[in-house]
Amino acid sequence: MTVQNTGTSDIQVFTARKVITMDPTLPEATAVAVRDGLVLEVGSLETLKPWLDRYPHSVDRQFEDKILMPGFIDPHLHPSMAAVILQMEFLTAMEWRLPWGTVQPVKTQEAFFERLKELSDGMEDPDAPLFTWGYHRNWHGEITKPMIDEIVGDRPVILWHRSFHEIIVNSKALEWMEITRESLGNHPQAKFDDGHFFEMGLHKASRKLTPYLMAPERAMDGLNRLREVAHFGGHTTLGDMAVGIFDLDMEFEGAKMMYENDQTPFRIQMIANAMSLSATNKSHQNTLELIDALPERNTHRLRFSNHVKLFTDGAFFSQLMQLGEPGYLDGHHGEWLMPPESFEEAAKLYWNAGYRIHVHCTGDMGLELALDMLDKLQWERPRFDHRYTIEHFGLSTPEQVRRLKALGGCVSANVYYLHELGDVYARAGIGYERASQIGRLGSCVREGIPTALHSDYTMAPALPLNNAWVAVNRVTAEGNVMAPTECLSVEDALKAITIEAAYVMGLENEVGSLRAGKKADMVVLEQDPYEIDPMALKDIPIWGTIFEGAVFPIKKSNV
Amino acid sequence: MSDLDRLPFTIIGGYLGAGKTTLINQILSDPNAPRIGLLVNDFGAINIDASLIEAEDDDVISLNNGCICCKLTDSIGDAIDMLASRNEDLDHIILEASGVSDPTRLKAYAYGNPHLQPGPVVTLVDCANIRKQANDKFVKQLVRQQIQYADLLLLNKQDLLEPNEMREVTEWIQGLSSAPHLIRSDKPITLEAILNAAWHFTTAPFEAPEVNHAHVSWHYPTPHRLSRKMIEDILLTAPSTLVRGKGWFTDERNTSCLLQFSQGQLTITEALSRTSQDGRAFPSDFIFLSPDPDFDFSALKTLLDSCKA
Repeated sequence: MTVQNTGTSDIQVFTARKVITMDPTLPEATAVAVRDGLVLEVGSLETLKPWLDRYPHSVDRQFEDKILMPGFIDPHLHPSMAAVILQMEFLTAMEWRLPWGTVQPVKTQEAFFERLKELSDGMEDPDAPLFTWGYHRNWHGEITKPMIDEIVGDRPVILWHRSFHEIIVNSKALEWMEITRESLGNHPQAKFDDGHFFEMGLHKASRKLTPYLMAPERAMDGLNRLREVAHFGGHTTLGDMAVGIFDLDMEFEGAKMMYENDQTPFRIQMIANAMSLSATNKSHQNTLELIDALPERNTHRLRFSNHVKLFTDGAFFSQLMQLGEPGYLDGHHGEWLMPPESFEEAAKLYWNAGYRIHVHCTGDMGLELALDMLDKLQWERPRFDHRYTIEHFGLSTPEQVRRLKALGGCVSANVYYLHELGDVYARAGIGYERASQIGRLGSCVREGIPTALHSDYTMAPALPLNNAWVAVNRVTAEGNVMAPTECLSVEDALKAITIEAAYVMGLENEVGSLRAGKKADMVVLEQDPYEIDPMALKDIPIWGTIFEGAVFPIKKSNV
Repeated sequence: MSDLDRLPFTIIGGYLGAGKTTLINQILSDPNAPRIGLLVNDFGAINIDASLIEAEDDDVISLNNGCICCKLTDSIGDAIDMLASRNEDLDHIILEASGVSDPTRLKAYAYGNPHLQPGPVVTLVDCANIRKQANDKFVKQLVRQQIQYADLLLLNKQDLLEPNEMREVTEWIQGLSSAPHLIRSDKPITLEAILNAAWHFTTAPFEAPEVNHAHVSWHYPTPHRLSRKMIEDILLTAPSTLVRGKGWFTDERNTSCLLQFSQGQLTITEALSRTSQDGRAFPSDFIFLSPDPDFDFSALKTLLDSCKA
């Protein structure tokens, strides 16, 4: 028999204390053989012999005391939005671990101002504006323009709210934005004396701020930072779950310029935002044609496929999710992002064209609409393996979980809502019972629904182990355990950031577990997640990642 | 700029199917329409005869009847400000609210713009479907809110209903909102009629009187019917320093009337329709302006009080 040279390069073998494959047939191993970016085989040096005897190879033993897992997958974040926020200093009530340092939580107004002063004093350019992100009244109290002026009066200061729906600025910033008392008049949502701009009033400030933050050099810097953030979290695959949120061509070209190179240790699955694209393309039919053609743009790392994004109800952080009875504590109402009829028109169109539909749903009434729609779609044209995925999955009922299972849907959840908002929403949003059941994931897994976790960065930190930690422990920011019946096992939480995350994006044949033929994407951990206390899951040090066989250590300099 | 020179800003809202696009197409194709700056959700649905188009780009279409049609994209606020800055070329700005928006929230955009006078919210209602929508588990809250917070209701598609059904629908709507309503019959109601009714039947301008400090204003509400003849006599012989007045009243024959008074010119127009749940007259309401800080409004009040019919 002639040996044919089927590969172009030598085999590389990574050995480890333990390889957690996330493949249920062969869950554990000690070595992975890799060639040309693919896994040749998972096993031990012994079982790999048929390959190693036949082809030139080397054995890389640097991970002998470490744990290898499939690279983490975040199936829902928005690089173009993250790029805006990452230009700002994080001044937050929660801890945020970032590649360039951990932001310690700031939970009082005094500490907020102290940190603000430090940030300003640390800036080189005395005139440069200082942007912070993370202000929240629950922790930092009411802050107004004169108060900021007293702390930092000599440079523009813009405090961006955690929700991104409001800002508070100082006098210098008003000057810089060329905003006068007269130009605001008696606008109900833009207050000159307080320096406070919110909701509709925000546009008064955005005329100056948007071009500043979106300027190519800053946007590129933001995308650069996102690359570090994604790597730092141990990701090797991301899902951009709404391409076209601002401008499809700009977003795609920006991502291509920044990420289609060997310095980038991840790929991005691009899922088009059919709602915003239909607004600029006149009809859902036109939009479908545009989306049909998107895969022609695919590059090695950036790929469109037959997945599409639609929306039902409003933002979870803004309490605009649509709730069923008995609604909000204060009686206000949520909002629809698409009219239900328009959602139906689009859903039918994409369903019948064979697309896999991802539906942004935050409240239980939003979920109800998504379920009613799936019911209708199945009635009119049954499909198997359709991967209709509920994105975010804030509030739900147990009955809806059963129904989702019956209809064949998937879940991609932002379970961090529970951690950051559980206590606050119990007191001031929706009452304890429902707040404690945010992210009803235990029920999903018990029903056998494919269940993934995501960050929707910066709605949650882009740290898959942190999200898994919330799903396993259901601990809130104030240290309360909420609805422990909905906790996931460590195994199910790890599946949710690997193979199940791959599954909801239709990538399960390529990534999400380690087996012969898959991409050689791995995350290198210093500890075994099965051996440690589940409360320490979020603190497992990540050494680095392997992307398509290439090793990318995480720089330790600033951590 | 005096607030009387500001561009009136009206919001037209209503759920899908209520007839917003039909109304907009009607406005754009009317050669005699006032010069409207129109903000629409998308160009896809609107239907403009190519011969009427003077200039066109991705987001803005200029028509030869003086209307400018502007697409709402990312920033509603920027689009409004762009049109408002062309206040010399326009008589009125109309914003088409998306079917799922809460139109009263959109009103906020007009505040603080020195060129705009925030005005009423007109909600269009699809009478043939409204009760179904109002019981739909997903949109019932939204469509009820759109009716409840309207300053004027335009009841559409009544031709699809039997008269007794229409009566029921009207009664149901009155149970939600005491706002006046116009019923579109076989003859389309002109935009001017809608805007007139909206501006004169609404309390919005009175709630937020943004009066230039060079003028003093006086607000006169009364629960009584007023004699049309006597009002005419009073205003036409009023001192010349009473420069402007507007509002509406119910006259002795129980007809609702619009009153517009400017520099000695008085127009009283009979309103199209105004209903009351209990058969009583709707309260009347005026606002008057004078540049004279010492203008004797108490004398005017005595005179108007005597008009009680």
